[in-house]
Amino acid sequence: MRKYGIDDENKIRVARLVREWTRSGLLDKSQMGRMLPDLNVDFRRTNPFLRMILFGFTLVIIAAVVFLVADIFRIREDHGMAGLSFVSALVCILLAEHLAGEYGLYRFGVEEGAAAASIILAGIAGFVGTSRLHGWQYELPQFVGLLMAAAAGLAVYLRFRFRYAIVASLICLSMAAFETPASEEIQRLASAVILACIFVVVRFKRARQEGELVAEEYGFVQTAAWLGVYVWLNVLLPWGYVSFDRYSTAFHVFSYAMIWILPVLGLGMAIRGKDRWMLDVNLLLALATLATNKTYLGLERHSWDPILLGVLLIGTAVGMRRWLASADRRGFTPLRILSSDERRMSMVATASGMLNPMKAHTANSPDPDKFESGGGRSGGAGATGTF
Amino acid sequence: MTTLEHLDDWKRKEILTGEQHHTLSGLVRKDRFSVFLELNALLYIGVLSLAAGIAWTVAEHFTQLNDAVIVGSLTLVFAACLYYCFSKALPYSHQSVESPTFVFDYVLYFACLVLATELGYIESRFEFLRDAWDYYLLFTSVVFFLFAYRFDNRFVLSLALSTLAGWFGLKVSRFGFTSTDSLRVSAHIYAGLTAAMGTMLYRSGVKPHFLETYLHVAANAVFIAEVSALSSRSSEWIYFALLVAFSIAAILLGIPYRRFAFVVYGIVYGYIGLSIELLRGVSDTTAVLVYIVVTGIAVVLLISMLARRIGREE
Repeated sequence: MRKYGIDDENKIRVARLVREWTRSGLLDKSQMGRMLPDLNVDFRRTNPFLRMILFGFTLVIIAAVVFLVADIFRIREDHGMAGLSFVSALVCILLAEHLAGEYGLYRFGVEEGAAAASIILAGIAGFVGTSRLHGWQYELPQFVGLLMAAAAGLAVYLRFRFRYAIVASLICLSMAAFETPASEEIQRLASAVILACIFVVVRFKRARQEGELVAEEYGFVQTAAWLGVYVWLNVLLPWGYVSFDRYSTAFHVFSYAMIWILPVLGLGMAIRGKDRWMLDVNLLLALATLATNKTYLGLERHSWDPILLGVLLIGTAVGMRRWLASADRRGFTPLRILSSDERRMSMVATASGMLNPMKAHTANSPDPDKFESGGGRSGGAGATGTF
Repeated sequence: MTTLEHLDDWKRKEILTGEQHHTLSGLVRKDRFSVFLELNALLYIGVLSLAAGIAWTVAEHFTQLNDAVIVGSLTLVFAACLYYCFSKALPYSHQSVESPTFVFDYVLYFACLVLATELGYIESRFEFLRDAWDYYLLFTSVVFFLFAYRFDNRFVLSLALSTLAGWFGLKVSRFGFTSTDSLRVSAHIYAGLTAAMGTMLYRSGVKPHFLETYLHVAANAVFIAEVSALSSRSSEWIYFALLVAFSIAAILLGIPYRRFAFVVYGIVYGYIGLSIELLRGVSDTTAVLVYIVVTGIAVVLLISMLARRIGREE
C-alpha cells in the first residue's frame, strides 16, 4: 500500500538525524560527509519553504482548473458538479501517484498539493452529490461529504503517509457525528468514542511494532486521536464559552471529569513511553483544562486568575527543571541536546513581537479615569494602550 | 536498516568513535530524553500569563488602589527583575551569550512587559506627555533595544522592534488592507530603518545572530504595506515598482544566503501584488481562472527548477 519503500523512508529519517546531530555538534562535518552516501535515496526533495509554496500553488491551480472546466462546460447542476468533483479527485490522486512515481517527488509540495486536493474534492463530491436528497435530514449532504473526505484522507495517508491527511481524516470522521439528528451530547460522545477506539487500536498496533519509522507514524496517529477525544469532550473548546443548559448534569459532570483525567492519563503514558508527541499534546491539554476549569464550575473569573496560572506554570517549570537536574530521572534531562530546540526557540522569540499580552482587556477610551493597558501599536507591549 | 543498525555499521567502519556511538545510540533509544523545549514553553506561557494578569488587575482595580501603590509595586517588580538580571548576567560580548540561568531570559522579558504596563498606566493617569504620548513608545523601544543587546535576548529584541513599529504609527493588528498612504510611508521608513540598523550592526560584528530577526520584521512590514496599497485601488505605480523590486531582491538575496523564508516572501507577496495589478479591471471569470492556471503553473515550474538546483537539503 505504501508508495515509498520503508527502507528509503528510513534512510531519509536517519539522514535527517545525522544532519541534526552534526548541527548540534555531536558529529563533525567530515563524519557527516562519510555517512550520508550510505543514506542516499533516489527521490527528489526540497526544503520546507519551497515545499510550502509548491503545495499552496498546486492547490490554487487545481481549484482554478476545476472552476475553469465548470465554467467552460457550463456545469451548473449539482450532479454535474458532483461528477466533476469526483472525477477531479480521481485525476488528482492519479497525478500525485504519477508525480511521486515517475518523477520521484518526495515531500516536494506538488504531489502533496494534488493529494490534498483529492481529499477536498472527494468531500465536495459527496456533499454536492447528495444535496438534493432529503430522505434523512437536511444534514445528510454534510454527513456524506465528511465521510467521503475522511475516507479519501485515510486512503491518501495509507498511500503517501502525509500526516496532515490522517489528521484531516480524523477531523472529518469525528465531525460527521455532528451532522446527524442526534442530540449534541450524543454527537460529542459518538465523536469521542470513535476517536478513542482509533486511539486504542493504533496504540495496540504500535506496541507490537518493531520498526521505528512505523512506530513513529502510529505514535503520531494515536496522539492526534487522543487530542480529538479531548477536544470533543471539553465542551468549552474551541471558543471558551458555551451555554451549559444544552447539556444534562450527568454529561456536564462526566465532561468535567474527563478534561482532568485525559491530560493526567496522557502525561502518564507519555512519560512512561518517552513519547514526544503525547507529552507535548498533553501539556497543551493540561493548559486547556486549567484555562477552562472556572467556566466549567460556573465560578466568576477574576483579573488575577492569569497571575495565578502564570505563577503555577513558572513554578512547575522551575521545579521540574531542578528536580530533573538533581538526579538521574530515567534519562529525562532539562538540558538542550539538539540545536533544533534552540532554532525553535528563536522562531518563537522572533514571532513573539506580534503577540501582545496586554491587549486582552482593552476598549478604546481616552478617559484618564479608565486605564486600559492596550498594548501599544504593533505589539508595543502595553506602552501606549489607549490613553 | 534501523538507526541503531546504521550506527553500529558506522562504528565498524570507524566513522564513529566509541564514545559518539554510545551517545548517539543513547539518544536513539531515548536513554536521554530532553524536555528543554517543553520547560521553556511552560515558562514563556507562564510569563505571558503573569504579565497579562498584572495588566488586567491594574486596569480593573486601579480605582480601588492608590496610584502610589500601583506605581510603587510595578516599579518594585521591575527593579527586582533588573537586579536579578544584572547580578546574574555574564559579561557583555558581541557574540551570542548563553543564558546564565534557566529563567534569566524570561525574567528580563517579564521586566520589559511590566515596564510597558507601568508607563502606560502613568501616562493614562497623569498625562505628562499628552498629545506627544507616542514618545513613550520611542523611550520603551530604546530601553528594550539596550536590554536586548546587553543580555542577548531575542524576545526583548522582538518587543523592541514591534514597539518601534508602534512609534512609526504602524499598528499591525489594524493595518491589514485598510491602511492609509501615510501609514504605508511610515511602514517603508520603518522597514528601511530596521533593515539598515540590523545590517549595520551585523557588519560591525555586534550580535550578528540578531540580523535575521531585523530582516524578517522589515520584509513583512514593507511587503504588507505594498500589497495593501495595490489592493486599495488608490495606489500609485510607485508601490507596484517597489513591490517588484523588493520581491526580486528577496528572491535573489535569499537564494545565495540560503534564507528560503525570504524567497517565500518574494514569491508570495510578489505574485499577489502582480496579480492584483494585472487583473485590475478584468471582470471575466474565465480570463481570471486562465490567468491563475497559467501563471500558477509557471511559478510551480520555476520553483521546481530552483528546488532542483539549490533547495535539495532539508
